[in-house]
Parts: sequence; C-alpha cells; structure tokens
Amino acid sequence: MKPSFIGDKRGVSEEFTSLPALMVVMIGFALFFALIATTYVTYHQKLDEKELHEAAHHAVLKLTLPESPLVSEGDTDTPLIVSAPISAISANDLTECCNLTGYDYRVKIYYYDEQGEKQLLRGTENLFTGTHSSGDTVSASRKIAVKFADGEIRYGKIVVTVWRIEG
Amino acid sequence: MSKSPHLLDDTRGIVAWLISQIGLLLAAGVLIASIASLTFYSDWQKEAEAKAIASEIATQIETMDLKSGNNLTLCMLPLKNYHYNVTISTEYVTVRREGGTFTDVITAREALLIKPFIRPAAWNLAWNTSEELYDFLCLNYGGGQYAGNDTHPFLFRDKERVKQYLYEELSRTAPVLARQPLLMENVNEPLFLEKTFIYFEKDNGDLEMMGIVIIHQEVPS
Repeated sequence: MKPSFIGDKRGVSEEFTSLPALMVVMIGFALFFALIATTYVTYHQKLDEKELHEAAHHAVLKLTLPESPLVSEGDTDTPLIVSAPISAISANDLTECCNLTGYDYRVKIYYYDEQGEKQLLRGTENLFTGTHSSGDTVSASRKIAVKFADGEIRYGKIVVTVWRIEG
Repeated sequence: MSKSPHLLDDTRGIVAWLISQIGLLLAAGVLIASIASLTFYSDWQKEAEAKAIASEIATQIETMDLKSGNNLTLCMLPLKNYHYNVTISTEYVTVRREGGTFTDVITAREALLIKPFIRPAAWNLAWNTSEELYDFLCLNYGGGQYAGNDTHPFLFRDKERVKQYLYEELSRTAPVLARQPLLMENVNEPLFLEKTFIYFEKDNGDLEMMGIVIIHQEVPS
C-alpha cells in the first residue's frame, strides 16, 4: 500500500516563489504599522504642543488686560507697565488674575536699554505660579511699553512660559 | 485508459500550497483589510469633526475670559446633518455624535483653560445671570447697599468674603457638573456666555475688579 502524503518521508524542496512574496508582504506589514504608529505619536505630540501654545497665548493676553496686576495703565492694545510695583507682585496675585486649569506659568518682562540691549525687568526674575517646570514648556510673548518711575518709557516685551502641572 | 489516483493518494505531487501560500494569502488579506479599514471605514474624520465642534465652543468660552469689560455673547451650536449633543462641565466641553462605524457613539473632549460658572436652567440656582449675581451678593454680602457692580462696588474689606463665596460656589458645582453636565442637544437652544466684573473700592477710591465667566441658558429680557 502506498503511504499517504503525510506519511511520505521523502522530502521535497518547496517551491521558492512564494517565500519571497511572503517576505515582501511581511515587510509591507511592518512598514505600514510603523507608519501608522509614527503618525499616531506625532499627531498626539502636535496636539500637546497646540494645547500648550493655546495656554501660553491665553495667559499672555490675560496678563496684559487692564485688570492685570502687571498693567498699570493703558488699554488692551497698548498695555503699559510700571517697574516699581512689579517686585511686590506675588504668585498669588498672578493666579488671582490668570488661573489656568492644569497649567503653571512663569512671567518675565524685558525692556531694551539705551544701548538697545535686552534687559530683564527687576522683580520678574522669579515670578511664577506653582512649582518649576519639569516637562515640556512653551512660551508666548507680547510687545509692551515699560514705564519707569521717572516717566521714562521703553519698548519691551512680556514673555509667559507655560508647562503642565504634574499629576 | 487507467483511472487517475485520488489527490491524497497521489504521491507524485507536493502540497506546498498548504504551508507558505496560505500564510501569504492570510498576511496579504490582513494587510489589505487593515489599510482599507483605516482609510475607508475609520471614524477619524468623524472624530475630527466632533473635536472641531468641542474646540470651537471651548475657544468661545475662553475668549470671554479675555474681555476687558462686561460682555454677553450668544453661543449657538453649529448646524450639522447628523445628530450630536454637547455637554459642558467646569473642566471639559464634550461632543458626542452618533453614526460611528465601530462604536455607536463617537466622543470628542476639549479641556477648558478656565473654570467658568455654569448655571443650568434646570437646577433652579440662586442666581444664573450677572444681574442676579449682583442682587444675590447685595443681599448676602453687601448688606443691601453694595452689589459689586461698577455703580455700587463692594468695600475693599469685603473682597475676601466675596472671593471665598465664589470659590466655594465653584467647588460645590464642579463635582455635580462632572457627573451631570450642562446638556445641549438642540441647535436652536441658545447658550449665553457672560463676562462680568465684581468691583471693590479701595480706600483711595480706586476700583479693583475681579472678572468671572458665567454660562447660563436664561434669555435676557
């Protein structure tokens, strides 16, 4: 009796044509899922960045409104800031004016001196809410006029750096 | 003519088909199905559309916070050719729409940067609008004399009490809203976004103001 094909112990070399095709398909598989994974990760990174940008933009606009403790006079288009009271402003004052849900931020105010050098306004070295940033940060800035006690007005800018609150 | 042997009895053939070619067919089938499902049957477009609606409403609410004077803005849901609803809690705007391919309901959520005072009409709260808030504050914190508006500002010494009340009111409503948010299902149903200021008069006569955003459904008279 002839053995069945399963019991046939004689080996045959399988046709070689299907193995390269299988390899091509598996490479296609890997490339496809790598592409999808990269797109997914990039999309979420961009989404995170967009949310941080929105938060920073909101904070910088809010902190230059007339009711902001940083702004002493002016309207929404040209906020003026005096240098004297800045040192008296605390994190609590900032939070009272602009409390971003899920974010903390740091405020720095710069002005340009007579030589055109950018200088940090005294009192804004350590002006931030919550704790120091531990992750990604995004900054937004807005042009302002800095008014000094002697009535001298200088061109400057306010920079708000935002980060997510951990946990 | 001799009869041909049965396929399984034919020892001359090889059955390579059963091994690598079936694997090839399966792999190619899964790959093509994955691409097709992601391209043609995925809900990503519907999700993006729901996200856009949520984002639009959240932006409108956040923009109110940037108003430098009292402001009342009407917010209407965009008209779409499918059914969807919007829920607003203190921290999120959520859009749910029907017609998903793999799930019945597609959900998109947008976090709010600010914490507005949300006053659903069905809750029967002590105040809903800014005018009602001024009346409430006047009665409970202003001794019938100070309302907190620009014409009858609070004395500066009342600031902490008023702030504490507003903080407690927000803390009280936020968990309830998280469970039972303000629901909008009808595009003709208006939602009012209100920026209002509570004024405090300092000893030197200067006014300090505190801005809040109120979301309510009460049509102004």
